[in-house]
Amino acid sequence: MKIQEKFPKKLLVEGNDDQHVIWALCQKYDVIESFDVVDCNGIDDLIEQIPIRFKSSETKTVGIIVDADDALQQRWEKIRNILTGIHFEVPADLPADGLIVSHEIQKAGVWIMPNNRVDGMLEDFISFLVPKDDPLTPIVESTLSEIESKELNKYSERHRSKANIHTWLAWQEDPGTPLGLSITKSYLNADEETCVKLINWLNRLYG
Amino acid sequence: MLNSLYIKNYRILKELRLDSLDQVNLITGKNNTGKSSFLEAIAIYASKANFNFIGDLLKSHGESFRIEDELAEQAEKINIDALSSLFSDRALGFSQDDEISIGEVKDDSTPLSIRFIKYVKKIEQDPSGEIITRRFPLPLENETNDYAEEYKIGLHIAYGANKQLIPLERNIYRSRIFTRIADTLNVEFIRTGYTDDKNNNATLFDNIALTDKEKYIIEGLKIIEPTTEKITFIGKNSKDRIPVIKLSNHSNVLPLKSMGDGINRILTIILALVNCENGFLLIDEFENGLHYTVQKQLWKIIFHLAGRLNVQVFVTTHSEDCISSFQEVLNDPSEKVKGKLIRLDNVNGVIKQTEFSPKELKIANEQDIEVR
Repeated sequence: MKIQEKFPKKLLVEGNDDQHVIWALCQKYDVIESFDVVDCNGIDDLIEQIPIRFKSSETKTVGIIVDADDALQQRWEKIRNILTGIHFEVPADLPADGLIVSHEIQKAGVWIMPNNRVDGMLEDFISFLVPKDDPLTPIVESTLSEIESKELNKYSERHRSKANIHTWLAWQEDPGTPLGLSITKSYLNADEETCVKLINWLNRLYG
Repeated sequence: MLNSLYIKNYRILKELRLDSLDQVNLITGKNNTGKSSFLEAIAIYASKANFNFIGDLLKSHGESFRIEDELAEQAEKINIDALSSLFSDRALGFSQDDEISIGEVKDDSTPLSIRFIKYVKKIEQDPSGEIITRRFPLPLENETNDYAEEYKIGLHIAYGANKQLIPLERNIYRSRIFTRIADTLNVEFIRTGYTDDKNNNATLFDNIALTDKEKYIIEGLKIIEPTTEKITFIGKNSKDRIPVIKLSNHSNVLPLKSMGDGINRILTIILALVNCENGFLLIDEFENGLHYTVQKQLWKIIFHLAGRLNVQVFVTTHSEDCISSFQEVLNDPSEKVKGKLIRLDNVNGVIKQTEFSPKELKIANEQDIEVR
């Protein structure tokens, strides 16, 4: 969603869902609203924006949340190279708690979904938040396995976690609730460990 | 053409280094970030510190430097007060560190330098008996020594092998000595709110009347008035001439002033541009008087003529429309002339630059990222 930017601090995200999930989490955790969450319309535009955002005269802090997809290491290397090229000193490995680096008055942060450690995407992060003993979880899993065994699935293997979480959400009180709203409506457990790490990363970066 | 730029001690620009410049350079930044000083520094460099120009500049800054006869005794003080305004912090220093230096970044380049100097005046007789005045600069390392003779203060201007000591004990702007260093000026500077040279356009037009360059003027005016056929300057006397325009659908000629600010602005810009072949065009606040819809067309003409006449262009702006239309022309695949955006920022009194390539400008424009 395109927003009217009003803060000098920015958080760049790949898409609309990421934006709404962050908004919902910030609301849930009372993260101070001190940064714009910018929907960059995809990973390519987001990557292109990074150096330009740091050239903007007002911008002092730029955070980046991207999906690892099926190549965490490559994605990290790419972003690491961009930040190094700008002037940041960036460690070789992405910290599990998310990266935060500073140079003079500028600050950069990187979080790679789902948890800076494994391949995946926003939907994998969200699936961590599904309550552990939820009785629907095994049924969603067996349903997906069943249609896959019959080759009825139209989603690709890459998007399995998307199919999984949206199926689970379809069986909640309000079927069709989008990801961000499902946090607000407390279908999901935002106290989960990875989620707390992400909130801590946001607070350290923008606080 | 300047491929790079190093400015030291010029007004707010204590030290600014740009490792590369393009043919068309757009400069943006907030107030008090040195945009105008940047253009002035280039003008001083290009004019080789021509004193007619420096006098004009001091006047536009509101510095008082006119020396009336009754003030002749204070001439040195008046001159120093006015000239020191060109130096960072209005400093009156005599060391090399205090000098204004403007030139390329390369070590082997010859920058233009301006600094105050102490000198001793000696009146001597040459062998033929003629009386001559000679001025001896005091060596820098000796400046703390006591000198029996009273020293005076002058301005030392150096450009390559050309060196000149200008005594400040008299009215320097009336003097002819300054034409010695200056070659033909190949710089045109369009300043904001500076109307003192209202006859300038008439003179610039005379320079190109009936040449091929006249057609560029018509082409430019057609951006705003497509029925433009001809333009000339008329007046009762040579000092007071105004531009008049002939449109294809009117039998009478019309005063250009009656047609709005935009077309007059375009006339001023293109007249200046066609008058500085192989030189520099400097425009302060591009957008003045120009609706955003005409800015892109004007940029096209500026890019075209800059390439054709080998003019290096420096333009300042505060306007998003100006940057956006500049970006569109710059990223047109058929555009061969190169350009870039430079933003100046005042970081605790130090002016720093940020440069944007055509590609970065395109991304910023498409994704709505503020570059000003």
